[in-house]
Amino acid sequence: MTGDSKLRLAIGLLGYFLPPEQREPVLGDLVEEYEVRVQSSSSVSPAGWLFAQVCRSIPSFVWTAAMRGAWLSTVSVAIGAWAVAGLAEFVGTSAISRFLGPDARLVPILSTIVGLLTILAGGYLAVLLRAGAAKALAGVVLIAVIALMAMTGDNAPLWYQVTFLIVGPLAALTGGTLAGQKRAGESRNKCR
Amino acid sequence: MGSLEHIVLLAIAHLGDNAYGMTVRREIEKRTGRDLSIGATYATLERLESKGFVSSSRGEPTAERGGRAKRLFRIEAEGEQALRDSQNAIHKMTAGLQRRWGIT
Repeated sequence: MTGDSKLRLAIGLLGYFLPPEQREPVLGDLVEEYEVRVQSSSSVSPAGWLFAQVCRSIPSFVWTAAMRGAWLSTVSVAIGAWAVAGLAEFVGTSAISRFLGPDARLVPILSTIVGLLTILAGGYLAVLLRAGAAKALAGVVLIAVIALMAMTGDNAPLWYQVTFLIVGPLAALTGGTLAGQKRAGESRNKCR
Repeated sequence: MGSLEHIVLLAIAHLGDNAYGMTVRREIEKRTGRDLSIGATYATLERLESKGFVSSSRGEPTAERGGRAKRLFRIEAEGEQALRDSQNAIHKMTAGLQRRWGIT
């Protein structure tokens, strides 16, 4: 990985968690100090410093955004979107089981696909209602899957649980990104 | 005012017209050895701004920042007063302790 690609990755990672009004000054500071460190002979590697800064700063920015007041409604929207996605998943998987029979081999695979698509749709819906709610939904999905995995009564196959643990939050974030792009396109069209 | 807010406010006072996230962070590191994260620096600056101790303005974009503008901070009169009050309180509370701590 080159220095430029490390910097791009760090900017992308930190930028994702920054509110729009803080993106420019914070990322500018990160780039400027990284360049200063690249040119100086510090004992700490510039890339090490860069990623340490990103990892240490993300919780601060997430906490600040949450404390800015909008966190309760954001979490409420996320939980609402999760409930809608859960209902849609239940309807979808019930229909699949009914159509193919509950013991058919394809049922777990199709259920996984339906489940992930409903989470993606949930992320999309959440961001249409409130910007930033997809991140909260990803958190809700992560907590819910961990809780289900910890429950002894959940007898779903391990691959199914692990898929939802990893891909579930990513699906919520992807849905949110798609909705964000749609919103940005609409506002650009309004400006024209 | 918390101790971190106090330190950040003092860093802005030292930096004058050149106080922005990176210089504030580096000034604190240079003077105290404390390695603050950019996130903690901005969280503190935001708190100081919400209390009316500092104000911020947008600087010019520069090439070394990848064309991104700085957010420059300056101390307001309320911030200067808070610093004076805080320094007075520390001065009064530490009177008589310097000898015990070996500080002249």
